[in-house]
Amino acid sequence: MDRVLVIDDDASLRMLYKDELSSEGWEVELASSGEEALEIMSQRRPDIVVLDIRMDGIDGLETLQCMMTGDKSIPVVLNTAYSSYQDDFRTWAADAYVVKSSDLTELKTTIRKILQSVQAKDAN
Amino acid sequence: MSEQHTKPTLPFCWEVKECDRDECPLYKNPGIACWLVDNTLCDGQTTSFEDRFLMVCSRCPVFLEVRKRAKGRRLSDKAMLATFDRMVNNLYSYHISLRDTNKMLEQKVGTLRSVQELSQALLGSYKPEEVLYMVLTALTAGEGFAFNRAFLFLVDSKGEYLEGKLAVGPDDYEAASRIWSDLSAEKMPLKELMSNWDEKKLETGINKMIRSFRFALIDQENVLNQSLLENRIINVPDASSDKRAWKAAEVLKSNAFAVFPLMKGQRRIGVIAVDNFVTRNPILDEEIEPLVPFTSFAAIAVDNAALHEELNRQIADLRKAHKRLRSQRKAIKRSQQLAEMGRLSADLAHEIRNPMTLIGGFARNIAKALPEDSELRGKAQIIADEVLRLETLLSQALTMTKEEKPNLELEDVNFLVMETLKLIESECEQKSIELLLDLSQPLPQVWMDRDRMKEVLINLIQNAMEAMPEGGILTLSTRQQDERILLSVADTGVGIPKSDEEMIFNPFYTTRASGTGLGLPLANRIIDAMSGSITVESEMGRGSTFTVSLPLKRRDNHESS
Repeated sequence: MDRVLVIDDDASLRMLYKDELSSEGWEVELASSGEEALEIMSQRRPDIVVLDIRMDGIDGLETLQCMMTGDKSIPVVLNTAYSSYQDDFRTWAADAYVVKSSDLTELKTTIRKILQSVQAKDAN
Repeated sequence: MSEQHTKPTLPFCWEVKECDRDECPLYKNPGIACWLVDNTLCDGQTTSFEDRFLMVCSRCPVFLEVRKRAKGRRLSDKAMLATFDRMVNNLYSYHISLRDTNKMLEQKVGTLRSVQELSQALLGSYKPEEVLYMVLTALTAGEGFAFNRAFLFLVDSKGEYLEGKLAVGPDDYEAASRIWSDLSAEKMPLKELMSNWDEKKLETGINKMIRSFRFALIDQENVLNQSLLENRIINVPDASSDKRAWKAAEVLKSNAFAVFPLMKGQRRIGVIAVDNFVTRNPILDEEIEPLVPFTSFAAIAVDNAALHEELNRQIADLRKAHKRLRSQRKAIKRSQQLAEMGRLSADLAHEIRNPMTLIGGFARNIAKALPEDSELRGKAQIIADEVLRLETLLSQALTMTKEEKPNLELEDVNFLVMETLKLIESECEQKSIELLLDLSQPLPQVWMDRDRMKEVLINLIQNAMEAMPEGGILTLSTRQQDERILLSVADTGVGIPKSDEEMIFNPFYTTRASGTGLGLPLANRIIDAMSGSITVESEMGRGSTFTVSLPLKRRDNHESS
């Protein structure tokens, strides 16, 4: 079962994401901040990370930067309410950028595609 | 009695001169030497004895008769008479030359006084045309130098040409006599003549003629250049016999003239030519001499005026720059405010999007959890759908402010016009604006982003309506021109000042209190992204026409942006 780490400072959103992504058959782990996420990742490597950008403490982009110094192979999907962050070159380090929406179809599709391509690569 | 006849007697002046003025003390008063009597009624009797005797009496028939009668007497008498005659004649010629010298001196003093007066007047004015006109007037006025015509040529800014600038005098010989007698009849004091300046004086035939001439300064075979280059007055009494005067003679249409240079220090300002076109009087060297002090004043005045004009021009430029800077500063402040507002609304959008994601997400979540035929599931689904709609709206509002690649499709412009029309018809009616359509049909389809094109059209129509607060005619027209489709929105409103025409496409430039200054720049950007262009033609009080031009051939030069 693929492990998805969702990082968002909004508790209700974490609840929604856990519900929705679990129903897709993924093991969902949650973190409420960048610090917590890095801590979790240092213990056990997730298969994919869904990362909010605007957070207190170290934000999503800083978290992304930290991840780049460690295990670069973990795919990251940036998930934010801000479409304008796409102009920030640091977001290029992520594998995908999905604007938050009540309809999680796009997010789910993106995650699935990335996981499939990683698996295809591993199989080779 | 017979003795009286043999003795020489004095003739009777009233008989010799056939005078019958009985109020004269000499009338019918024999035996008096009339030339010795003061206060008679003869010509010249008001002056002194010497003046009277030499100028009038010594040539008078009465006195000649006296001399005739004295002839042929004793030898001593003859000798005395001859001596007297000679003395009288000598005295007469002395007197004449003295009078002439006096007259000349008076003239010189007069001229000098005029020069001084002129110079003061000249230095008091800074209007270039006025100064030039005053200089030439001084040269032609009876109280001044009294030449018939005067012409001014100035060196151009690069110092390469002498250019005809101004002329004072009659246009041609026919007009001359009339104008000349008018002028001399008026006997206006010079000061008044000089202050009688009026722009219209620049439009006389002689002025138009003179302005059409210019001479390359390098040409040595031209008396105008020669005068300036050698810094001396040149009197040309007979141009036909002087090859170097030919060109000037041709321009002035005059065979005799004088040219004098205008110099300020070592700087060459120009030349002035004068002639006696009407009276045909020869120009005497004595007349030219007093011009020397005058020309140096004239040169300073002309140069001052030019400097003053240049200064004024620079001040005007500075003012304009200042104004532009001020409006730019205002625009920058405005754009800063807008940027701040943009940031605020982006923050707001973020704050709204999060709860919307939650509301919609959970509604969807709940709906899925409920049995398919349950009423509650339908309601939850409605919440989810409505939230999604709000999210879409929010996204659109945010991307409106961003540059986007247009979604180009082949579309019919006429169709777009008709579709847009439906949206504005009622508003037009309310504002008593008559709608006219002039759509060319059939019209080839053109590549455009229909939604954005509609935005542009609505924007242009709204501007047109606002230009006609009292009502008017709004004309929408389409046509093909070569490889382009043109769509015009014309109003019969207030119009746009020429100075604003360039500005209206600048962001944040607006003439309306309620305008954002973004409508036209946004429209311009949208059309530009479709490889088209917007142009404006306007006439104050008549209205404006905005024309959108779109290429028939698709050009993807904006793909990369």
